[in-house]
Amino acid sequence: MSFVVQDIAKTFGGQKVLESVSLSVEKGEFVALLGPSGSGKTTLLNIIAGLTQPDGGRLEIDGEDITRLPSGARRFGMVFQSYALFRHMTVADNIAFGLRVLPRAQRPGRAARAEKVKALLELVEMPELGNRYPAQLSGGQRQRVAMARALAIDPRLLLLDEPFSALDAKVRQSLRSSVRSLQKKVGVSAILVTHDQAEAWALADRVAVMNRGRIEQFDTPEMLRGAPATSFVADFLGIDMLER
Amino acid sequence: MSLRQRLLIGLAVLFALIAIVAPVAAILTRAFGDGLGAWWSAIVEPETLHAIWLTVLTALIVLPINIVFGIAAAWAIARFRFPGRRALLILIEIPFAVSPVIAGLCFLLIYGAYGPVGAPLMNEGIQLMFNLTGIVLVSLFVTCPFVMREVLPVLQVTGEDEEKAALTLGANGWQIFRHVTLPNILWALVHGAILATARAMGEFGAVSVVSGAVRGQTMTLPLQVELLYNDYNTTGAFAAATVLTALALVTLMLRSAIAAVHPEAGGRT
Amino acid sequence: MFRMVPRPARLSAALAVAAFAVTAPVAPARADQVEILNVSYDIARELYAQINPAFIEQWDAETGNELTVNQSHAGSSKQARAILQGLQADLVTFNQVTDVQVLADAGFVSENWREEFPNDASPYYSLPAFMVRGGNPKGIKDWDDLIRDDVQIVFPNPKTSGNGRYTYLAAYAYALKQSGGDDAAAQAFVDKLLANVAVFDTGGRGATTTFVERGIGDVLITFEAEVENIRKAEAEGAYDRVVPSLSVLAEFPVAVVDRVAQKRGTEEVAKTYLDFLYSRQGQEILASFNNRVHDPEVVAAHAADFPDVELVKVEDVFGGWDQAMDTHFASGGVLDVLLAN
Ligand SMILES: Nc1ncnc2c1ncn2[C@@H]1O[C@H](COP(=O)(O)OP(=O)(O)O)[C@@H](O)[C@H]1O
Ligand SMILES: [Mg+2]
Repeated sequence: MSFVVQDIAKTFGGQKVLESVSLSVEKGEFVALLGPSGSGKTTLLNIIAGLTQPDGGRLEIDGEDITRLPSGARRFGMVFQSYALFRHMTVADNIAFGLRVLPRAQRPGRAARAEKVKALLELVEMPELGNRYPAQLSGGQRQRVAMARALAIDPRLLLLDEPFSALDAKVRQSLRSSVRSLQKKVGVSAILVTHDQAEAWALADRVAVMNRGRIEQFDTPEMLRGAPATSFVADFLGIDMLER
Repeated sequence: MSLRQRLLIGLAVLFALIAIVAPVAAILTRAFGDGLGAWWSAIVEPETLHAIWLTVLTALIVLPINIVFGIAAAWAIARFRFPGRRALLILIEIPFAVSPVIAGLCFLLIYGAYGPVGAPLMNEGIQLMFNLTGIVLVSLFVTCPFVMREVLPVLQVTGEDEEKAALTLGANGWQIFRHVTLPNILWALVHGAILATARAMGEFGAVSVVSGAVRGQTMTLPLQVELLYNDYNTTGAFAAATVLTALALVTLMLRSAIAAVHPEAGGRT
Repeated sequence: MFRMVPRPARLSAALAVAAFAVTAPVAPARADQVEILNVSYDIARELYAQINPAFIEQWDAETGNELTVNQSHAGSSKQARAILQGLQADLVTFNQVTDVQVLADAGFVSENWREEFPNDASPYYSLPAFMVRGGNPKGIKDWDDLIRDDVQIVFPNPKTSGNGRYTYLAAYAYALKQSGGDDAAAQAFVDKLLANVAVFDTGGRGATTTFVERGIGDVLITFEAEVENIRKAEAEGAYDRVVPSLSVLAEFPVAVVDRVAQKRGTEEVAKTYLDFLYSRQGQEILASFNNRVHDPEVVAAHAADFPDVELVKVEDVFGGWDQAMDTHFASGGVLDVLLAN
């Protein structure tokens, strides 16, 4: 699986929010979109998810053009900043939702769905909590349910929008590593949106640094820190260019 | 409890007694003043029975239209930015601002036999006013803000992310509505629908203008109550009023019952 | 963005269709099954509930056809407006000449409608009369007694009520006659009368409630027929009727609504219906509801129910309703001046 973002552009009410953004994600790779608030990260992720239509450019997965494909048909699992759990459904029903709404011909039977939910609950280490409602969970637990729900549809790509920002520092640390190991275990490619470089370093194979709707540099953490391509990247990462 | 608190509570109770308990008690004493038999024979008067049926029928027709329209309008306003969105928001409040009698007169002017819409239809043999259609139209007018008003704020504070999540998980529009949006707004929806129904059944002014007051045909319960009262038929008028009161109580109990059965429909975050 | 076809949509569509089926005019009624609508004033329900079966029987005997007479009752001005907006009235039986005139002016009723039926198209009539408390403790006999300091009276506001206007004009006409036509004297008389009004309700029904249920006032002034209706509804002997020496003729005009009846092919039955009101049987029913009638035999049979009274016409004393409205009841008219005192 390889995923390509090509020359994506987006304007909101005359304001250019994304300008000619290009990006690629290799099979099993973990990519982070890193940038200050307002730089267009969420917009780009929404375009990738199919929740927002780009004004120009192209999205491709394994050579297939998916730019106009409806969101639901892309099979991209998304974890929202707010988690967006269905508040009136149990944890198990939340996780099973993506399976339950499949067309009848593709929908697994009730038993198969329960099986899958059980496996996912174990994967996110909360096997006992299937009958709880979201309101009865801690922040970290909710985040893991959101992960499990996104993974339930066997996504071709996992999209994470600031998934740790609502958590306190301690929980954030432990969840970071569990998200990374989950992704590795499942073998899914992932794109993470974050404004926190520590998070990007800890999780990502490659990082795209965004500024005002453009990607300033797209490289491995080592290269970014070793050879920032622009003064914005150096500033944002806190590297003194002259000292080097 | 401080003196001031006691005073406030006392005032509230007094107000409830004067404004709510006393009138209902008056209705009941008048209705049953001549005995249960007199009350019953007043109810089963064919004209009163027809008024009950017409009132319920009107409410039953208006209710689903209100629900569909209210949800659609609230959803459009909460989820989309489109030209005329603000205008729609203001427009939908108009029925609360306009006096029902004026509203009824406007309907007559437009949909009456000589109005711009009514006249061509009349030539086709279709009459809109002075029949059930007219009563339904004005009832819709006076009740259409209720559902939207209750649902909109709930939609605005909850659920957009949930709907997006459902969309990425492959749900279609109906599935999103049925499994995500509807459960979130259910309580508000029920509340709005009940308010709208109570208003539809109790509406007097607008209906009285377009009803034509044909006995046994276009008399709703509130009109029938007034008519009987004007006829010095006190028992009949108050007996019919007990039916109206009972209908109102039934809707209120329905609301409580739904709240008891579906506590998760509202409030939970 | 989303396709939305909630289930209630189907239900409402079905109900809308059902509603249409209920309301859409049924295919042209069978020739032998006729339906007419009598649009009438607000307090004539029981009267026409007796008239209609009697007429239907007569119609059936004469033609062998089945007839349904539907009734609509509300304030007659409101009824006239409704007809102008398309209420399908085949005929009207009103309690205000002006309200039929409105229909005539708009071409719904023939221009010379007052000549189409006898007695200026008014098959029965009434007059403002008094209702006093049982035994007439204040000894009220005539209009003079109403301006006494110890008498409090109740009648609806002439500004808002046709009933109230009749009372005002009757008192005025009485005073005019007493003073030999002196307007100033008449106005002084009415001024004193107005000063004795305990409560001004907006309509006749409200005035009745004030007098009967709140127990306010010594005299309620309303139509004679209405006095009797109230007395019938209350305990026997609780109230007495007093008919003054002079009052104003209150007509109950009728007319065929040609524009509707022509279209619906109901002119003949509508006219026959109104003729029936003048028949012996019709007049008898009308009299039994305390309306004064014209048929000599019925008048003789009911002589005891209707004390003698001198009746004047609004046309004769006040130059017609239009002029009376302009002079007395319009903003800044005589009534306003008197009320301002
Ligand atoms: N729906 C929208 N309508 C108008 N402007 C928007 C919309 N979504 C985002 N923007 C604007 O686009 C810019 C980028 O927003 P966003 O993608 O959320 O940035 P980030 O996620 O990097 O903080 C911001 O200036 C924001 O105000
Ligand atoms: Mg963002």
